[in-house]
Amino acid sequence: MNFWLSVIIGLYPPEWRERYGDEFRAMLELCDLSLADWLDMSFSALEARSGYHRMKHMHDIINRIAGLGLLFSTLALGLIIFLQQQNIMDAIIAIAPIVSIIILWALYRVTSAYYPTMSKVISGIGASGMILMMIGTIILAQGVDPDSSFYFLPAMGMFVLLGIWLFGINYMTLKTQAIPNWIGIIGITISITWFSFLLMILLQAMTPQNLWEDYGAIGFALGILQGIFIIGTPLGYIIWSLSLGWYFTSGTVSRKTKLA
Amino acid sequence: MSVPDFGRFSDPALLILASLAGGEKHGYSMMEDIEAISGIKLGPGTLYGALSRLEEHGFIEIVETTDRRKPYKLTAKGLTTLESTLEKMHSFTQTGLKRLGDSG
Repeated sequence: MNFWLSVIIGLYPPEWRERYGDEFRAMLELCDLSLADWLDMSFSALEARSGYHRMKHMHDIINRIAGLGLLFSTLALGLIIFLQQQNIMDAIIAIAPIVSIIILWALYRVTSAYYPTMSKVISGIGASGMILMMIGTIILAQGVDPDSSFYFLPAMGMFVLLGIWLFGINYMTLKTQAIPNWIGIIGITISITWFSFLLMILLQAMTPQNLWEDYGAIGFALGILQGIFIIGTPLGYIIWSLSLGWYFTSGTVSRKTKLA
Repeated sequence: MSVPDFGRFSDPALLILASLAGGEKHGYSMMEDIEAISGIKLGPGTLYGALSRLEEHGFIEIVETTDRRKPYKLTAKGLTTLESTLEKMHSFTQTGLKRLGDSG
């Protein structure tokens, strides 16, 4: 009997055997197997060989592409900051929304198993932010002044929506175990500094006085906080996206979500 | 939300979800429970074919144990999907029965 069980389990693909082989054998040892059961297992093993591995492979490839996209977009952000060359900036700004959507989709897939409704809502908010990002890119390409309200309002909307997405998606990843918790905590921290920074921009825009100079010690403290946010947010984002990109690209996320 | 099209594994997948709604179970317990509640005896190959697809799609998850027999439980997504699918079936059944009553 044991020999025939080994034969039938051996018909399944190696990845399937590695994941289910032992528990499948444990179950079969309890069963009084009929001829129909042996045929059923043979047929299922052939189906597993034809479809199971291919489907897993596709999920894994998508995860790795998303990871590469994130690594690439982070390096691109570095290029924007350090090179300051218009043609490179234009090229990166043009492809940033596409890369962002791949990341959004990959993170949605990771979190949707645990939070089916919330992940849809949060990803919808993120997608709306990315659509605004595209609109902003088109507006800028038309030569509109970046300081005009025509550009400022969609830009603020984009930052708010992306901030909500960043907070929500990182909060949800804490439960998935597919991504280490420290990455999620960094992501949540960035979203908080992100909103604090936006709040300060709004405060500055709404206050007639020079906030930092005319409010003495409070203004000075706010100025220091702003400095921390200005340095901390991009630095945190770079750490977050490089780590996340690496976890996706290396296949760790696929393995932890049992996709590969 | 409903159970995705798993081909010939779609009906077994629904039976597995319904069985796990009664609590976590390992493969053999599921086979016995499904036979008890529906009268359908799932073959071991069919059971694990559906089980692996449900796990891939995040409808069920394994309960960590040192035992060789691994119990499974419903995820939040699996629970929502089961509720939604059963509600649709319930509505369909009621309409069918009402029409039978009307014609009889």
